[in-house]
Amino acid sequence: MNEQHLNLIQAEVDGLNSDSESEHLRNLIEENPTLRASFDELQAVKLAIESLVEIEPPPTLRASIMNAIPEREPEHASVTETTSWWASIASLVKSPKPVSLAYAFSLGLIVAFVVSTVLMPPPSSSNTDQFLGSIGAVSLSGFETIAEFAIEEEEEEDERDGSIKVHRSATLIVIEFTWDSSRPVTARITYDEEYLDYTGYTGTNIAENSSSLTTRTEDGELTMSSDEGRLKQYVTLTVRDGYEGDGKMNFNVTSGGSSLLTRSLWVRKVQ
Amino acid sequence: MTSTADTVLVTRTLEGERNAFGELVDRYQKVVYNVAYRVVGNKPDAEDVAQTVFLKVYENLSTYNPRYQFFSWLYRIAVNEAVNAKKRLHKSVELTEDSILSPTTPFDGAVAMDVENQIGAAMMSLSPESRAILILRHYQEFTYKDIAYIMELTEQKVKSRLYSARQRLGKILIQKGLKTEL
Repeated sequence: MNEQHLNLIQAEVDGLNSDSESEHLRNLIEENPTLRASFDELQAVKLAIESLVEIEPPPTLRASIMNAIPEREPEHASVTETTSWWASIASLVKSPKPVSLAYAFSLGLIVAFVVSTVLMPPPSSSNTDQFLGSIGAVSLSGFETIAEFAIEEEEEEDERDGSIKVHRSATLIVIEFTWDSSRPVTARITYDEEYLDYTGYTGTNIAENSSSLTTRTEDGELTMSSDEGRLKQYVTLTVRDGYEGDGKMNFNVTSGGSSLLTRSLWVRKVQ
Repeated sequence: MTSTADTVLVTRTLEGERNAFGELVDRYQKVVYNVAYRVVGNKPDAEDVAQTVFLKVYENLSTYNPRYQFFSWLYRIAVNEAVNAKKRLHKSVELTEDSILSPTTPFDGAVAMDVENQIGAAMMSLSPESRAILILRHYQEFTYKDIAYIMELTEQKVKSRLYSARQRLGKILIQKGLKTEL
């Protein structure tokens, strides 16, 4: 039994084979008892799982969910205040409250979305701009770009395939990760949790129909990866209030097991 | 059709309309609870997971990308939460194939279970990820591509893991003498 046989059997069980593929499998099964046994086994497993009945959630579940969610400020309420949203976020960050910070970030994203899609000129024809235009980019007006690292695949040394840019203001750091190649990629960024606090991310794959963009955060480490390549992602980190030192960030980008970028960056707190 | 309505509810929720989120809860609490139950294996933990899932959905609603179906995004959060909860809680004894078959395990009582309970018990001997992939495919009838998005895998990995999970469960069912009853 080879991989093609396995795929045929599994597709048959899942009802995905064409008529001709089903007939081909039937012929194979007639001649091969091992294939028949495998097919029967997978079919039996399918029936077994499908025999499990759905259970009803407890009647209190809905109420417990609704009681647990906080009131949400209407996110469009401050859209017209396009010049002051940044100041409002900064003031909230200076006296941090978890809920306020979440609202602040959400508000910032929404306002940035509106600013970028409504007030900014239409995107140009490049893939990246089409992508930005379709989902709304984070507006980086008022930020200073403090670092830019080019990423190149090993085979094509002269061709730039991506970049990591680091933008900052007094209270926020935005990491802009771009990968414009079809090869899979993983970017791992570590940061001092004493200095920085993960706030959120926005972005998507540039490639059409791609569904493999992943962003994870854990204990001062965030990872962005795509098996299908071509992505653009913004990650926002908040500079912790009251922290007086400098913060270190480490950037590591790999593709197919090859290391493409290893860099560190010290970020000094703005007084 | 459902997808469009979901997107409208998401927008209304973001605009501060609490009842809109309530409609999303009404629509999906049963499937989220069932996925959680099949992954974590008991009702109290499944309830906790379901509540956490909807809280995370609410808190992260502004990051939802309407390019994907809302329920796929919801499942992604649900499966992640359920699998992580199962690993974190360690409340249930993870049973190996051998322990299920052993006459001295807590599963001696399985002989008195009905077939459905025995299938459920057999599934609990798989890893949380394997259970999740089987549930998504057989119980919720997601496509390989949808499962790839939900579980953050490539489609090829979905196929191979699905095959492995099915084979392993099939072996357990045969050893438990259940296959002939199906």
